Amino acid sequence: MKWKDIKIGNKLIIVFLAIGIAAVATLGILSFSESSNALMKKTYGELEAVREIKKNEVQDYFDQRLSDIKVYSVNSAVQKASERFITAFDTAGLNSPAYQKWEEAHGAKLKRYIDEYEYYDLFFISNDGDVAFTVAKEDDLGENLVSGRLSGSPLAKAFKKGKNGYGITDFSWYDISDEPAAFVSGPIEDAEGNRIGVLVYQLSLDAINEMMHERAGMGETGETYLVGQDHRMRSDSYLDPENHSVEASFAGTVEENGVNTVAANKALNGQKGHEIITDYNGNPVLSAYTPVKVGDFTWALLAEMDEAEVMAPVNKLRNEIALVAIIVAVIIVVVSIYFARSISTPINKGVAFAQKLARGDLTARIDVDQKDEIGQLAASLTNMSEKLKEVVANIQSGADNIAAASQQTSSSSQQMSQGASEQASSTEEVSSSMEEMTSNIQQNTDNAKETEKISNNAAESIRKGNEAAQNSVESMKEIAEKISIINDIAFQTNILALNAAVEAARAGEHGKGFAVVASEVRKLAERSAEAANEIDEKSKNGVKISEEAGQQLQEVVPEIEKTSRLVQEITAASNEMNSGADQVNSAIQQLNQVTQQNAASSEELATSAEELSSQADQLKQVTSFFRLDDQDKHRYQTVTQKNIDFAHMNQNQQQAAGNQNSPAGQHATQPAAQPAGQPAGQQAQPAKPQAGYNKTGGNGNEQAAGEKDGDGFDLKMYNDSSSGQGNDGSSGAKGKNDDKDNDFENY
Amino acid sequence: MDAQNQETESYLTFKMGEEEFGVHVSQVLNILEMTRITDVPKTPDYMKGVINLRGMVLPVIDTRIKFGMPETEYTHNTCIVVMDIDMEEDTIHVGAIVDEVLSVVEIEKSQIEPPPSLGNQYKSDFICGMAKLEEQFVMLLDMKKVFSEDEIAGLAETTKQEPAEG
Repeated sequence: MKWKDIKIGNKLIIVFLAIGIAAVATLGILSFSESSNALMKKTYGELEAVREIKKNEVQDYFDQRLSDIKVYSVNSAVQKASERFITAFDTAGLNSPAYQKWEEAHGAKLKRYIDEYEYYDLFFISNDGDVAFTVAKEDDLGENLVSGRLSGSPLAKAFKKGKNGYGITDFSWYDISDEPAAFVSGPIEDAEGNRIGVLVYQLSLDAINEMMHERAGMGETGETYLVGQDHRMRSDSYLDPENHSVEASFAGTVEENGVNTVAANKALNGQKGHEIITDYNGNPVLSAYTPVKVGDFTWALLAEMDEAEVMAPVNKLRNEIALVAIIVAVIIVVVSIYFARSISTPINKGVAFAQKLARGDLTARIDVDQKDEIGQLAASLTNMSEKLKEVVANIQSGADNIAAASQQTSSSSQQMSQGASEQASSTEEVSSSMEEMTSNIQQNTDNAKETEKISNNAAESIRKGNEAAQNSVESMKEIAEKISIINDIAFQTNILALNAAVEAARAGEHGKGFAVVASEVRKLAERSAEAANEIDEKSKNGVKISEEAGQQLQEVVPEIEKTSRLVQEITAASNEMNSGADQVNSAIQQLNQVTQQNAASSEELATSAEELSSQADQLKQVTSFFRLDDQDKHRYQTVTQKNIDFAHMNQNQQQAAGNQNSPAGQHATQPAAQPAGQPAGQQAQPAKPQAGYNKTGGNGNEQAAGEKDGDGFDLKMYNDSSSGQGNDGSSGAKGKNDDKDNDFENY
Repeated sequence: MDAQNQETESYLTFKMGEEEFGVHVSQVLNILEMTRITDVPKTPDYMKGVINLRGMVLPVIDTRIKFGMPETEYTHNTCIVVMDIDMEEDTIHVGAIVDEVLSVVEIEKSQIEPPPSLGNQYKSDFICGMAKLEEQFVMLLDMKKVFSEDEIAGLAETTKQEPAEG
């Protein structure tokens, strides 16, 4: 199972648990390890302190033993006594009176001495190796250590060591004592330095055990013990006195009764330290170990304590922590279950609500009274459902409306189709009329071209005539000039004649004849002047007349030119008209095509409308998936009905009395519309599938009225367009003619 | 014959305005076409200037101004009549601008009537007679009286001075 598939409650429990347990565990582990470390440190400290103390004690003990023997061997009483015993033994034997005598003399003192010093035994051994004296009087008395049965015994080793100097012999099994024995030996020398014999102490295990068994601060399982190089015990075990006493250790095997632990080996190798090891009992222990130099050999001193005991308080702490953790976990589980419930319960309600919605049940309610996000979600869901109800109700009523509207559309478009085919026939008539008009226009064009040629010719001729008139004017003017010369001549002749007459008169009788001639000349001059004047006048008249003629011709020229231009324009205009007529023709053909397309389109529209109607039914079917309770249905559907009613009312109002869109007017219509819509809807409810139709039927009257209006409008449109087209052709032509007229007027 | 007995005098008739005037031919030296007149400053307004008459300086007067008529507008027919005015000692030539020279006519002395004493628009002392020709009166002028003594002297001065100044 994936994480995201786990339920929220469980998730919360898991998360809370994980966090709580992790916290507790971390704390527990931390405190456990810290406290165990501290405890171990403390324990190691204690163990090391004990170890050091014990080590010093052991070393002190052996040093004391050595100094003891050194002091004692040079004691003259001892020298004397040893000399006496050895001599007696050598000469007379043990049972001799001399020996007995010395025995009585010294035996008690020596006995007291070893008791005092807690030696096990004290030996005087001759230079030859004869055990001349023992305090304990065991079987070794009288034996020769060089050649006798004890030649391999530890006592023999001690004798050998003691011959050459002071020394300690390590423990080993000593049959005579029937226990492990260690010896301290040294030479006994007289005042001259001659060796009398060898002094040997057999050490008592009790002294060492006493040291080792001092258990202050060691708890229940703490102990200190000594181990020799042979891994056998050098002091009795406290924990296992049966099998790990020194005795048992030497008697048994190393495996069974010895100590071959890591700590012991390290200490025997001269290392010092502490660690957790498994002790000879197989238990984990904290072990502080150190080598102890005893004479010329090394022991291991181990101070150990069972880990179990050391860790006991820590383990207790651990158990307590575990207990706390369990309690905390239980609390967490309880709290998180409660918390998760508080979250998941409303969510589950929401889920159930949404599932109901998904199944189309819009009557579902969600009952969550919270103000947090979940409450908001619930509120939003409720809101959504409300909106959905509204939308569905609107869609349902809208689908009804669409169904009705599409039926209307279907019938309207069929009518339109009919109208379009009528239009098509009309446009064909217009087309044929246009073709006739085109041929007329063509003829017009040709005529205008002919007229233009003629008027051009006329203009040319008049121009020539005008030139001729100008020429004649020029000629007349020349004649006038010439005539004025004649006039001058006549005038001068007149004056000459007058002068002559004057002269003749002055001459009196003699000048009479001359006076007659002069008057005759004068008369001639006058006549020629008269004639010249006449010619002048005539020519002036001629000039005036021909100038007038020229002027008139000049005036005619622009008129004719204007005529020519106008005719040209007429030609151009009729050409334009021709192309215009062609365009009109092609436009009409396009119109025809469009009309046919319209017809086809409106038929398609009709089928589409039917399709739409069936789609609306389907839509109604689909939306019937959503179950609305009656209240909602009424509420929302009457709202939409009201809207529609408003639309109609507003239209009616506008048609009736212009703009009365004031809020007061709308409020006034609202109550009137409501009661009318509601009872009809409620009555229609029981028969459910028909309800929608009935309701739309209720509105249907208004819609039918609307339909009529629409049809009327359509027809009007159609009529307008058809007659408009008919008129357009002629009016267009008229317009062009008008243009021409205007042009003329402009000229 | 009788005609010779009947004393006739030749007059040159000319027109000024609507009226016809006549001058005894003895007082007329020549008739000239209208020509350019050189203006002489500081002369009376009827004195139009001088012209060159065969190397001689001829003073020209506007008769119409002299006669109190509006100034002559020169036309095609305007002529200068060169007059011969006898002074006590010598003769002075004067050009008079007239509107139109008509002709030389012979008028019988009987046809000449004395000038009217009153009611005439002209000073009658320089009109020596009125002759009736073809229903129209011709006023016969005595040129000597047209110009006063001083004027004639002034004209003589002008004539004499002109070459000197020229």
